Amino acid sequence: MKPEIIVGSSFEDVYEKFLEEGWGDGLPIIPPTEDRVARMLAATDREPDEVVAVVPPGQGEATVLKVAINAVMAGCRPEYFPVVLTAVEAMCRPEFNLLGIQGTTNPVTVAGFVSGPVVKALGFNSGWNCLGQGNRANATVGRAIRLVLINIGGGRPGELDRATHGQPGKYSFFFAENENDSPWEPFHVEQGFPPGTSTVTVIGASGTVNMLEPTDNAEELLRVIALTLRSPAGNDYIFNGEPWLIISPEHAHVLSAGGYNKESIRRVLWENSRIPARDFTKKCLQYWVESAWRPVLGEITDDTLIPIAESPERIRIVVAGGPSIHSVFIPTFGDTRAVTLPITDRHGQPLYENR
Amino acid sequence: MVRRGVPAVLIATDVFLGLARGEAEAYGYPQLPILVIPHPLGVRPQHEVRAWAEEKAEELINLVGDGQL
Repeated sequence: MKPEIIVGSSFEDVYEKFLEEGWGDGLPIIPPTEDRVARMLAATDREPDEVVAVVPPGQGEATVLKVAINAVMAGCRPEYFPVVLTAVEAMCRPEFNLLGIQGTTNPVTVAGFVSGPVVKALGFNSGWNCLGQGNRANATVGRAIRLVLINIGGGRPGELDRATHGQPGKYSFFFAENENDSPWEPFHVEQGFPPGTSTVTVIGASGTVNMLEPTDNAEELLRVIALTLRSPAGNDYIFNGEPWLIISPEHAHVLSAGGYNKESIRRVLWENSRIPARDFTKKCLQYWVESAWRPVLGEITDDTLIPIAESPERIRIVVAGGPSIHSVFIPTFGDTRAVTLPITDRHGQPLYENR
Repeated sequence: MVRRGVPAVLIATDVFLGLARGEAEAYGYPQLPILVIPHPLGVRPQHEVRAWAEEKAEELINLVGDGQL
């Protein structure tokens, strides 16, 4: 079925109509006229009525056409469209747990990042202020994901989106790996894709915690990062999660110069960020921590050390950001696993490959 | 559970009733019985929760019969 496209007499009329219908995030939208949607659709070889995914909790079918309408509304250039389609597919994979993420009281949002040649090809920002404002690709791809969550998945505040506070990242939270300034192999290679593959990763991100640290000593840096992770009211600890770290290039070089790679960083952080069970409230232990961790750790006593995630591998790391001595901890919804997919055409052939 | 033939009742506090109904409908079970309890549940002392559970037990049992969709 072809969705009805409303055309008002002015930009403001369309904006008002969309707000009235609950079709948006509150910010002005680009009216999804037929010609704009057609231009978006021309950027993919996938058929308009192909169902990319079913979006919980409203169980709306995200057809290529409906995703295109939302991408237009968000302000995406047509060439961003394959990235949006891939992100939608990724966030609807069962291990991501979008049903939980959309309906929860937690502030979690669908954050995402690109890795590989797509970053340069489409002009994503992986440097200065990459989590902030100012870059069209970052801003509008993240916003398109949010509009799909609202308009197709039914995630409207107070209806199927029950966040107690939410977070600013629910408008848009999309960035790019800073592969050029990283001392380590690119994220997509670490995930087992051939070098030069372009990928999208989605994360169930509950917020950002900044870490300012001027040390040039890798062990000291890891010590303070581990201390910063420790949060007995954080979902990763409570539900056995999968926390993320966005390491800045400067911090990455300190760690690399100290002889650390991502694997050894994970091990040190995992070991040193564990917190004794007595640090949780009795109710939190009884309701959640024990049921999440007893199968992994056995009987939980006051002295049991509860890790941020089941194993060091579950601490995820990507290098991004501009110059200076900040890195970012992204606590997650806990009951979610990030999903990385290659950006491909309808036949599964990779797009934006290095040639 | 309903899909597996097990009668099911959803328990929701009043402020989450909309979410409970919305999700039940979206997943194809608009008739799923819902037992509504007062909010909040999370910060309520345990003895109050126990007292509530005893009070609501009969209503819950009656709803289980309706849960065979």
